[in-house]
Amino acid sequence: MKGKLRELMAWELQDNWSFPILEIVIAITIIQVVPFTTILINEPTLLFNFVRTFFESMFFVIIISAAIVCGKSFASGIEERKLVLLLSYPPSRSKVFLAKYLTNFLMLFLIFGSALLVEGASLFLFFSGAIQLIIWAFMFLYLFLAVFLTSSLMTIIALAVKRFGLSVLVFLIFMFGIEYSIPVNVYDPTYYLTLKMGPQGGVGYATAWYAHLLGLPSSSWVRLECFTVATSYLLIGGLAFLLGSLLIMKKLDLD
Amino acid sequence: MRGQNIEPIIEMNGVTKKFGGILALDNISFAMRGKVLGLIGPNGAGKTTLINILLGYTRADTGETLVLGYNTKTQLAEIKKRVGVLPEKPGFPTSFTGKEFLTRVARLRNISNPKHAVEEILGTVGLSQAGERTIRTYSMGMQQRIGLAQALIGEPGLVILDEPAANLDPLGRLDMLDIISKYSQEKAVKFLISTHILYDVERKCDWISIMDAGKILEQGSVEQLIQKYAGLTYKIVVSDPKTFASELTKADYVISMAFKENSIILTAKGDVNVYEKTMELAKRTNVTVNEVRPVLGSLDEVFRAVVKSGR
Repeated sequence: MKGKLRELMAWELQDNWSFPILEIVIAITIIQVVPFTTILINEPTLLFNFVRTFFESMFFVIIISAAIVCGKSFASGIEERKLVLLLSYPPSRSKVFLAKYLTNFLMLFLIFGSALLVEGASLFLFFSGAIQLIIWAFMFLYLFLAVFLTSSLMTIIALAVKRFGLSVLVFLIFMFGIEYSIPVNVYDPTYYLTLKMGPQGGVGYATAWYAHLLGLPSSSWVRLECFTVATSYLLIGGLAFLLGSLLIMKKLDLD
Repeated sequence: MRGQNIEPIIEMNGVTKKFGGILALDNISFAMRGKVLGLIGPNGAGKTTLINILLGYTRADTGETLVLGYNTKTQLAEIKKRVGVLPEKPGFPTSFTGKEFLTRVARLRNISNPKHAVEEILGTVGLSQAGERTIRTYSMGMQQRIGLAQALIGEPGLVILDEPAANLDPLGRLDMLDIISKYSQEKAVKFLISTHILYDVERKCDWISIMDAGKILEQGSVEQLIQKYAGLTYKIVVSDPKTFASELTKADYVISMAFKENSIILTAKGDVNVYEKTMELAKRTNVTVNEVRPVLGSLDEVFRAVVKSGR
């Protein structure tokens, strides 16, 4: 990684992730995720229940954490005139943006990934086999995409609104609005436009497809169009919001 | 005009900036030359918008801006390498210690020996003892000093200070003026200072631009401006200053007027014989004139006269 980008990331890490942000995110993650592990062990359909309970407990934490971390980094950065100071130094706006975004995204993924690592390890203590491992891998992939989407969306809102409180409110209304307004129907592709169901659908379909490749018995309630909607929403949505954020950052008026 | 043959530090040609319906900069064209430049104007004059355009924080709607000969639209990276900035109300990373902050700034500025540069600049701004403390424990004055340090580190070609004396006590302000003198004289660092404290500008700046309502109304060296406007400033002592002043306010040749102890300080338009006019008015108002004489103007008077004439 280039020197300036690394320096800017170190700056962001020390400034934005200083006490108590990191501690709060880790604490909420532990409280939200760990209790489900013990409940799971006696479930008959362990593997898919593991996926379901993990993402259903994590979506809330991911949304709240992305709102606080990205909002604090970008919207508070503008409000408190930290960005004005940072942009007076030689690195370009794109580099400053990239450093801030990458730091926040990677840190969030690292924390939630650690939770998944711990939970997944407990799964392996009781069950082993190729399919468990691949479920775990797909879960990491979809966790990555879920964090990518939420970080990118919160970043674009924070840069557009330029106010911490308002940007968090807009983001939460949007995210939870989607989560709770789409009717529950596992066969309806729009149901997978949620952070709760999107990753589950992605992991479910991908695992069934992989099992089929291995010649193992497999079945999934997730249809191809649902999988496509879920993956596109997380990946293309995340990319679009990221590019939009970069564009806003480059045009941003810091008055 | 002094210094006209020198390359301008800052140059604007036809720069306009609007925020919604508000015209912040109104087709500005000017050049600033000198070692220590002062930008003065009342609140809302457009000083900060002008500085924001110089630094690429805001883009002008029209026109061209050059800083140290580099275009702000196409060569901003070159400008940022050569310019140190203390913005108005900067947001410092408060979890950093003073040393950590300056070391990171030094690295971002590609300074070859950051440790040495940090020690030196901390000593210069009087924060050697506080370098290991986090910025959140600093007083407002200390934060302003660390802000000055991050702008000066590496001795950039130009340092832009937006309200540098804010939050500084009188001693801190004098220290800051000494640092500016030292850097401009010994290290050839040029300064652009935007401030409300005219006394500081008068003492340290060799070029002044006066702004109001998004326009540059007047500019030049302090001596030039005082010479130009001092001749128009008079001290008038009369038997009944209150009655006399109320009549003076109606006169069309008066640019500005203020009371100083028992006298009236009047700035008049250039083509008026103030002695004759004063005598005529005194006769009309039954007031005895004790004294009418031109006074050596200060920048305060120049500023007042310029702003008033521009409105």
